[in-house]
Amino acid sequence: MPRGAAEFDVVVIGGGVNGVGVARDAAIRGLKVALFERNDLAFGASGNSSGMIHGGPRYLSYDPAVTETSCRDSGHIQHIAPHLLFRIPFLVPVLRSAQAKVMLTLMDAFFQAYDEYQPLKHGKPHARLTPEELAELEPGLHGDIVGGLSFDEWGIDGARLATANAIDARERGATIMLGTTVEHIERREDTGEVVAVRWRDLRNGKTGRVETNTVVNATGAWAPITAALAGMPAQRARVRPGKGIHIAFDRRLTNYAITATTIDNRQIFLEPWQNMSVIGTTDDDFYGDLDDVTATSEEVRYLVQGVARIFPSIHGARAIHTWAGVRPTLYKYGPHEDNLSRDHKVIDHAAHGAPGVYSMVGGKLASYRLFAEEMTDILSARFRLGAACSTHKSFLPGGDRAVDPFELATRLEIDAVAARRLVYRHGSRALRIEERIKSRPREAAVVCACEPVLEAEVRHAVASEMARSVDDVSRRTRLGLGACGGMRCAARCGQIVAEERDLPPRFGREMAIRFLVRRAKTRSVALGPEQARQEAMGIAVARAELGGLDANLDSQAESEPR
Amino acid sequence: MSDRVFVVGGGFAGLAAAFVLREAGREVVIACGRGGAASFSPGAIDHVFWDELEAASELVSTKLVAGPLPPGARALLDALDLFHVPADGEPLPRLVTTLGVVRTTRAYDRSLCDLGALRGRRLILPRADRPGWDADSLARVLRASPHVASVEVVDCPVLRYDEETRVSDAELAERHDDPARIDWLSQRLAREVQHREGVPCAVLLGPWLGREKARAEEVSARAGAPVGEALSAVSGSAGARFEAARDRLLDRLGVTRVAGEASEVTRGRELEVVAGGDAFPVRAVVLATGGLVGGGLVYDPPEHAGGAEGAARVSPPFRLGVKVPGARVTASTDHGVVGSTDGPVLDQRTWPTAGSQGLLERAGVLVDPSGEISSGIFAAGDVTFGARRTALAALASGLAAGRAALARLDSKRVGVPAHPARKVS
Repeated sequence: MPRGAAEFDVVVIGGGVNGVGVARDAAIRGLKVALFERNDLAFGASGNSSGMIHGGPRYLSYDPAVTETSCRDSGHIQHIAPHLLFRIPFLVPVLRSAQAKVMLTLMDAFFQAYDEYQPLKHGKPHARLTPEELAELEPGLHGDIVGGLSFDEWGIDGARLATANAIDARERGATIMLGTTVEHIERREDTGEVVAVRWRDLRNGKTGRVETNTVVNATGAWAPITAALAGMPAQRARVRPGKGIHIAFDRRLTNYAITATTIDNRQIFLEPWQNMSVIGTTDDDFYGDLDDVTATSEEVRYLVQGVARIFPSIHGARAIHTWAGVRPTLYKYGPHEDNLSRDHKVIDHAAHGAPGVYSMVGGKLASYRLFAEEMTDILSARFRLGAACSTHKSFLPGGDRAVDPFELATRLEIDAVAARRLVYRHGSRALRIEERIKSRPREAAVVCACEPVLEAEVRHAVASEMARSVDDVSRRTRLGLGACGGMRCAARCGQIVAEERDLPPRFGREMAIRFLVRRAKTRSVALGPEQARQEAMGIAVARAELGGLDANLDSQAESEPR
Repeated sequence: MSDRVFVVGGGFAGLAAAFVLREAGREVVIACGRGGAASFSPGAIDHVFWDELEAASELVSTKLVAGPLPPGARALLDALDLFHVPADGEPLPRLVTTLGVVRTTRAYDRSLCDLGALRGRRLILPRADRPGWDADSLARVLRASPHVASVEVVDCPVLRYDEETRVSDAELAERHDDPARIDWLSQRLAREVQHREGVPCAVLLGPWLGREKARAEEVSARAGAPVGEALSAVSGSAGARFEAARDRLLDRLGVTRVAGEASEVTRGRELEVVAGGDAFPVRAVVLATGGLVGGGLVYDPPEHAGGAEGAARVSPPFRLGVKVPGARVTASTDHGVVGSTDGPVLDQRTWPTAGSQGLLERAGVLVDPSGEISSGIFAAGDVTFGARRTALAALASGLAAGRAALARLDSKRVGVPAHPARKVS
């Protein structure tokens, strides 16, 4: 297949880490790429994961190859985007039981094996801990603990990772279309080859068609639906969708992540993550609407119950939101959800009479780069490029050099925490936001005090990171995800987004209301007593200042002027 | 005492009940407790929720005019001496929020700016380096509004001291209770107004014009142009001004105010309310304790105290802040039954929907149509509502409960020995 035969060499469908990863790799290797994403970058599993690029010690016993590739790729991600990573040391307390002694010994040996992989991701080896040591490290631990272990993992903001890849792809010539769904993949009647895709912008109804001979289906759990757009039976790109939920608490409750066991003997955890604590996760077969996945109060209780056994003060902690995502696990009928392989594979639909269509199924956040590399290697062979992958060497935007947040804070006269968070999210690109503030000092104003997020960063997210709504800005910057649930910042953020996008103010207000309604929905499944009061007050406040909060509860259709 | 009535709660409903009873010559004791919905109200008194009203008026293309008030409401609002209440049939006032939303209202705190009264004046927005006040972006939004003729942003100083960029809106509002500060501000605004000779203008400020009283009229008179606040519900000072006006009215009427919350209503030989360490024997009680916001109804999920193994006790997730003796408790099916670990689903509880049960009923207390929940005990305001209601609805239900209590006192003039309040050990 020669390059340049069609308008675009490759059309990638899906704006999760795998899709943007392929778009970036293919663009680096010289292909002309267009990427279509139906919702927003990292809208699905990528932005709703546990926020770890862990090696998956859980898979070590039955899928050691996955553990190795995860660890190796995790090391690569650390090299290309060091600013996005933070260490999450884990504690594994073991409660007294008849098998506790044996279990500790087995676990010790198990993590001994895991230690072999730790150098790949610059992790520390595990340690065996006495009950006293555990109590000293985490005084909140409770129960008859006979001992435990520590091991080492890395945290990451999945939405930032996807955004960084998308920005890089775009800067290298890829066309990224967000909020735009592919409605049809056109193929020739005779040979079955791809000729074009038809798209529709979901926010303003515009439609169009781009010519291409190659389509990469990187739509995660949506993969079967996307395959059907090419006129194939959906099961040609079958996955076994598994829903996972997380609950976020308003602060870092612990210094270490703590593993716990659910009533049905599944491993879950309480982890300090960015400036909050997170409990995760469930894994249940999912049969619902992929565009509207939310945690339920039953799932929340199931997780809280599990964590409370080892960390009872979780009952008094303040949950501030929940999120849910659907894993696109490799299809297999029969096994329990937890025992499914976390491996990934590329399906070449030439075998199904659709040459030029590829589906990426399975995979993990930690090995997204490798998965994208494997996919792009196939494209490289198809286009006879000969160019080798370099995504493990070339820095993601902002990853090229370290910026001292404290110096930045001094230079801009902003809060050190705000500067630290800014540098975390943007790495050296924080300096571009600094430039904005230098030319327009008013943009140093804090929009979201919980995170915190500056006005300049909101404007940057719209101008340079493809954010089109308050929800998008929130995914890019974590605006409105703090304790106040966006009550203080959503309206202001909507105003700024409307301004930056040259929309009438009314649209900014509607975006803000939609955001607040969505946040309230995710919070409502995990409310504690004080929050019920706050929630009632928040509704009254939003009603007095913005109006229409109830009216918009059911109709979340977004529309914008053409 | 003989005819003493105790009102629990100092929001719109409680105040209305106290007002009716006191005007009829009864002895009234009121416990205002901690701040509820009224204390956080933005100074706009809605009859119907403004957004619903505007949507409805758009649908049937009617003009937005002031509808009739509930009976007795005008007398109370006038006595409160805080709100501007347009006469029936007048166009509805239009307030502007700190975010630039223009909204209608039935009555408003007199410190707020009514765009409807400006009649083509140019709106001047002074810049102030404070969170929550962005004159430039507010101006951009207002320029797109059909309700404002023209907007101008100015660099007129409105903050006097450096730390005023950081103090809360309520504190800044309190500083404007000082006549000297009003002088200072008026002079600066007057200069801006004079500077635009021949151009009629008005000034819009943040929610800073007084905490004890609405000071906008004083400032307007001295500045030579209408000056008013933008509405802010998060940190507005209008709620504080309501509390101050309420206390002044209660004192003027001769209502006894008790510090602290009423903790218990008991019925021994007679009805008795414990509040602020004292026990008050009374003939009737009006419960206007508010909804979730006011703390009249406490959400108390059973798993909260459950420790490591889940729920340790079995109880409905809502409980009343005040123990109500002899209430007609319904055989509650939905709320009384608690599941194996955790009780009712929480999702549905914080977004009250139209047509749902009242809060009291959710807690298992049946409310009579008259507001009576037990002999001599009446309920009013948010604690009786299911869906969220407006301030005027709360006020109307308070007036009705007051009247019902009055009727009960009149119908049962049986001798009850008078007792002074006694100390509770």
